[in-house]
Amino acid sequence: MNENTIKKLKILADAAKYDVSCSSSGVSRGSGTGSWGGVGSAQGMGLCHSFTDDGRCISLLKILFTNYCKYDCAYCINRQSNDVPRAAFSSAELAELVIEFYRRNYIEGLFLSSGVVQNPDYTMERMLRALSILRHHYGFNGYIHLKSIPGTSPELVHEAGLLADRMSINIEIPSEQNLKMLAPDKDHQSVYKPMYFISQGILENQTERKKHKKLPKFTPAGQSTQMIIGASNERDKDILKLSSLLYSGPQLKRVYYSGFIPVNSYDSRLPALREVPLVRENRLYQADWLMRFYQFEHNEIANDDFPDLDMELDPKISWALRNPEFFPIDPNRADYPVLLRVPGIGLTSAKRIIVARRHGKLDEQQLNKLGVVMKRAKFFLKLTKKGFQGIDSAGADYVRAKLITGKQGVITPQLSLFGPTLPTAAKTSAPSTSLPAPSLPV
Amino acid sequence: MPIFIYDKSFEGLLSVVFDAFTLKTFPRELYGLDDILPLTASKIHQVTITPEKHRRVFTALQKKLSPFALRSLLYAWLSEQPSSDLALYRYICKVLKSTKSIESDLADPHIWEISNLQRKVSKESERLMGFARFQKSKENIYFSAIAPKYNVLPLMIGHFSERLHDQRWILYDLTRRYGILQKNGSFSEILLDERHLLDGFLRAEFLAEGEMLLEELWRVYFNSTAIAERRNPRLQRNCMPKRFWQYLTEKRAVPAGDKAASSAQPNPMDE
Repeated sequence: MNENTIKKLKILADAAKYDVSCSSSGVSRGSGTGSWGGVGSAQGMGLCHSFTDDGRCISLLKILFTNYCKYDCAYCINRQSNDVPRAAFSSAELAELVIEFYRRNYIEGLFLSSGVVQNPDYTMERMLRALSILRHHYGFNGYIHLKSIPGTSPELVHEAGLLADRMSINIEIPSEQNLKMLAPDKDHQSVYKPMYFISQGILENQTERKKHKKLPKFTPAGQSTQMIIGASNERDKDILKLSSLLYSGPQLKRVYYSGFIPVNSYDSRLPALREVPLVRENRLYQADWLMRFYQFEHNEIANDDFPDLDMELDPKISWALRNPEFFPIDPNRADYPVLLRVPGIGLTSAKRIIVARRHGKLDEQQLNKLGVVMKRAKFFLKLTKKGFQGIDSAGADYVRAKLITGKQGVITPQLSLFGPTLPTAAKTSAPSTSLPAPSLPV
Repeated sequence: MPIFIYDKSFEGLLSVVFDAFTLKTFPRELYGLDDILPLTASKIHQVTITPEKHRRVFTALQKKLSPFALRSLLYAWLSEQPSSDLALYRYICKVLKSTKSIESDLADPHIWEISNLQRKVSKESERLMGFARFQKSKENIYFSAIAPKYNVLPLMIGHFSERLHDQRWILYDLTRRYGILQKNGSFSEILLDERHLLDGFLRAEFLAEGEMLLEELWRVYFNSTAIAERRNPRLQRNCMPKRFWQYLTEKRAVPAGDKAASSAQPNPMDE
């Protein structure tokens, strides 16, 4: 490693930053069974080593093997027709860099992707060489996340699964026809085939290892993928439906949503956005959490009647306001899945409520202490306070207004150039300019 | 108001509990041997620490608490907050007095207090497992200095001994001025001559060859991987509070005389 390495690292780290996947979780490995024999360990929950100036976690060395690429995808900074500085690592150089960073506790491991040189298989072989040096020469036990190149042959995908902990392959554009428009060399088949192949491999490997415990693991941390948000005209309901299918079908661990960064503004196929759709991206992550942890179905969050997420309120509140008949609920009696539906009650508070209420009835003050956000939850819970206007007595519009005015600052609705302006309060619920008269206490 | 005096050790605290139950006198306040006692104190009792006392209390606790709750006692102790020992004392007495398991009664303020301390200490320890940065010295020892809010060094040893089992390393607590050295699978507590350090990092003359280049590579990586259009200093500070920055290779103010400073690129995000 020398001064030249600095230049390469700068180019290739810069080129890899748009792949937002960051996790190092899913694998627990030490110097016992399953160890590669050398330095390192893998921490089951993952570890954040640092945070970039844009607020994202750094846990892996996220890098392209090379940013030379023969494809010309409209949304990619490394597309062939862009005149950007290009570089390439050698396998040995990359492996050494990973080990030296690892020993200093800068990283949990490696996240490796690449531009396509010659053809997918040729590129994958080079990447696998670096992985092989890490695992076999250095005995590296840390985390390796490998991106598959769409169109790679099954034999290489299989070899990769024995070396990597997580594999991923990016869908990028949620609908096939839009993908074909923006990236003519790619199609969804070239993405789904390897994805299903890997998920088959994982299932088979898990079954085999029940009989033969010492069998090497195949992609133990599972798969993930990424979709770009805002580069094409899909509605949130389509995106969430696709995510839901991905979580159930090939059993992906994570779907990442990356707000479209306006690169390649000269390309007319792409929207001329001035701003990155960060609010929409955030809402999608919140919706994703609802599906994975809060037991929501995708069509409860967004559907044909309600195709896009509310930008002013999070998807859970949005669902609650559209389903007022579900409330109020009694926190001292409701089951866990029901508690999860209350805005202001998260996974941790719900668990604490279940455990603490065995010892005695919980009142508002205690709920607050346990971590429930009473500012929100009070409208949806059965409380003893007389005359309090919850969603059952005052209605959804009243509660909505209360929740929005309770927020600090103004959220400017983000515009989409494709469909209607993303919904504001006035458009989603029945138009109302005045609050309903509160009912008098009985 | 009865008060007890003890040596401010964990074994001492358990002995306090033993004496309280034996003498059937439960102190309202606890003081150390050198503390100035309050003007009004109805009964002052100095606790003698014996192995039998603290072992008996600990065994009793093992019977009543889950492994997690037991471990939480250690975490609460390591928080080293002004009245964490009193909080622990109250919690332990409560646990021993009750016939059934009460550790999940989070609505109870004493139970909650310990749970809170456990969470704070645990979070600090996990953060530092990520934020600790090592430098390779001339003698091939990897050195890292941290300044944790709570005494989390003991909690970090297991993680690093597993991960960096084939290299000699030192983890040093700058605030409490003690460190741990791992060598050939064994650990020892060490004191450091702090003249080796400048702002928490080893001075250039003590570093291994090529170490400056590596630190520069990490800084370059850190700056290149950020997306300028998504700049969010508030989120960054939220996730990584500023008090950690001075001991991070990528965020520290690089000293003027350092060789690396001359080749450091200005951060494009600062413009």
